[in-house]
Amino acid sequence: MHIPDGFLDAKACIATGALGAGAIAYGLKKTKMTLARPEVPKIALIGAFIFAAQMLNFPVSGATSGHFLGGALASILFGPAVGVVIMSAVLIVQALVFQDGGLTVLGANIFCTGVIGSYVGYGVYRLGLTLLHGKATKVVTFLAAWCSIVAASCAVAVLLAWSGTFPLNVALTAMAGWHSLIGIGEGLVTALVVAYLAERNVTFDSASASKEASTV
Amino acid sequence: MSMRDPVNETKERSAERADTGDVRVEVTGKKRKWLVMAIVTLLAAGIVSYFASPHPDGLERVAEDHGFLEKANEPSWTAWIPDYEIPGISSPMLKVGLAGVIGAAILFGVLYAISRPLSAKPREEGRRE
Repeated sequence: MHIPDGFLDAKACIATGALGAGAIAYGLKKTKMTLARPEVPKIALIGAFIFAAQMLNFPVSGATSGHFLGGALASILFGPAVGVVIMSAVLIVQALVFQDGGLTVLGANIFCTGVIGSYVGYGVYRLGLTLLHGKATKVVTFLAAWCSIVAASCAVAVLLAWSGTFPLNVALTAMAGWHSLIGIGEGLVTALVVAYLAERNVTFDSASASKEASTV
Repeated sequence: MSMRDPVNETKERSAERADTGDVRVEVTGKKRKWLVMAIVTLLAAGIVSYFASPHPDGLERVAEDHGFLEKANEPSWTAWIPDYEIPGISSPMLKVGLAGVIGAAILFGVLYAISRPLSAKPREEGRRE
């Protein structure tokens, strides 16, 4: 769901441009604090995989297609900050080299599929692990990826409505409707890849919980 | 390539993660699995991409159904590889496949170049026991 130039008005482009730039700056800063060297080639390869997978449009219903986005995959594997960095790199390369997604709406695309996609995917995954005590991780991963797509599509709908393109309720229904179907593909690919690359799930223990609570 | 004990490395890194309060999977360090991911990536970008559905995606479908697809501006500039097809190549499969492989390679290179300077150096002292 790469937004092309012309769909959003100036205020939406500027607001999302600022949000997108801020999110990238925060993502890079957070990445610097947590990244271990052996993860570098893995992050680069997942970025290449996400780019490749995004090219594979699959038929959804009638004359419509959908494609993988990857925010949930990147953030589940490496955390949401790295997820934003990976997704932003993919979106910037797609816009500059492949003319996929407009330049004035680059911030909007980074905000919707990069930031919302990564953080919603990661948030649902984390919530699912906590609620189910680390059980049924494949189902949790599927749901996390599905939610990330639907949330990203709703964010696009809100931006379209805010730009006066069409009314919010119509935008939300249409975007979430199609993307709840596309999200099934996203969920399956994400669950498959995470299950393949995960050695085990690091569950949310009380020690790190209290530590985090004290630092907030 | 380092010859670290994978068990110790895993323990150490999960300890680091507990410190930051992060919850995520312990990503595998097995080279064979990453090699498979690299091959899958190249096959997807280089070959399967040609067979991708040409139909409009979710957002384009919505734009078409609600009559604002024409609001999309034609770009005033031309990118190197517009629409994932390398200009000047006649074979449809080759121009898409090559575009995919080039894109995947660019992403690998860009993310490697960004993340390597951000990563912590391995602590050699602690590992020599």
